[in-house]
Amino acid sequence: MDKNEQSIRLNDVKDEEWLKIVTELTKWVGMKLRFKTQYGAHSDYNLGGNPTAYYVDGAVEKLFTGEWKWKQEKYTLLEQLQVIAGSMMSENVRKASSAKIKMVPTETEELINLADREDYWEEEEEEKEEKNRLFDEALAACSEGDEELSLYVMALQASQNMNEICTLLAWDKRKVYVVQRKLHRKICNYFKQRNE
Amino acid sequence: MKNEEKSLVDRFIDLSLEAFEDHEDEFFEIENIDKNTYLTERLNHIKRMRLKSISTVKKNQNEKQLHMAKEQIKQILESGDKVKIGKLSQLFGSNYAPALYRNLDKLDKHDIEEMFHDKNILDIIEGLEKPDKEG
Repeated sequence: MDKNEQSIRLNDVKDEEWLKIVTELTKWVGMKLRFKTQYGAHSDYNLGGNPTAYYVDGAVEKLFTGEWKWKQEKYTLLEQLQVIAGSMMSENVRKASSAKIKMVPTETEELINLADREDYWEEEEEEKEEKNRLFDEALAACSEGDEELSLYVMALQASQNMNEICTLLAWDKRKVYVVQRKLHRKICNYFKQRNE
Repeated sequence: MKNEEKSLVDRFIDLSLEAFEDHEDEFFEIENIDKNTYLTERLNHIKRMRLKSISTVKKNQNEKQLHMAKEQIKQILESGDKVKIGKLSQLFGSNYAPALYRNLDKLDKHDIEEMFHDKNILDIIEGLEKPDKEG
């Protein structure tokens, strides 16, 4: 699919469909951002506005301008936009990290810097570990004193998907959805306070 | 990525996306975003992108058609076929006949655009194809 074909295909998407896609993309981006450890890279100040809107608009723009190719055989429109937004987020974390490195001016500090830079590519794995550690802390803090949530968190840690959680707790999906939303809200508040 | 390979955070996000599927309002409220204003702004952005894109597509199609027409004119002129050349003059009118007899390569994009000005390029391409079919 060349740029023109991609534009024609995108121009054919109706507003109602865009609205659904943008809503889903917003939820995905919002959730991804909420649990990022390096939130500074995605702050309003750094991005010049609402971070969620920044990534949603940016992903849409990169597809319309043809800067990113829509791999239709592999991804739906929503999935492709998620890939682009995810890549933009990683890129901004990388930029923020290297900006920190470049800010060091003296010779001694520059040597320290080079060492940091060499470790840089491994940092992503470290960031993942840090993110998981913080998330575990958040789960513990948010479920503390709440029997239902504590039980749910245990099932969450022991399961791979919704069906397994339902089986483990002998709850129906509706019940799991309610508790998941309750826990999500508490965790979002926890991270909001942490990132402020 | 398979679920077994996903981190707990990513699995949690997947579960939340499923749990909030019919509860968008609650999600926007948690995120402290005014849903209607936010979605209107996103949709306006898409509309702006769409307009730009339509204009670019039209421009590209027009350039492609201009190139096709120019190539056809070149072929006709090089063939020396008087019937076809006559047809060409008919299509463009007498004002542009002298230009057509010069080497077309010497005409730049603006000259060609000027020749095609207020003419439907598709009609011209079709018109140029007619002598071939008749011949």
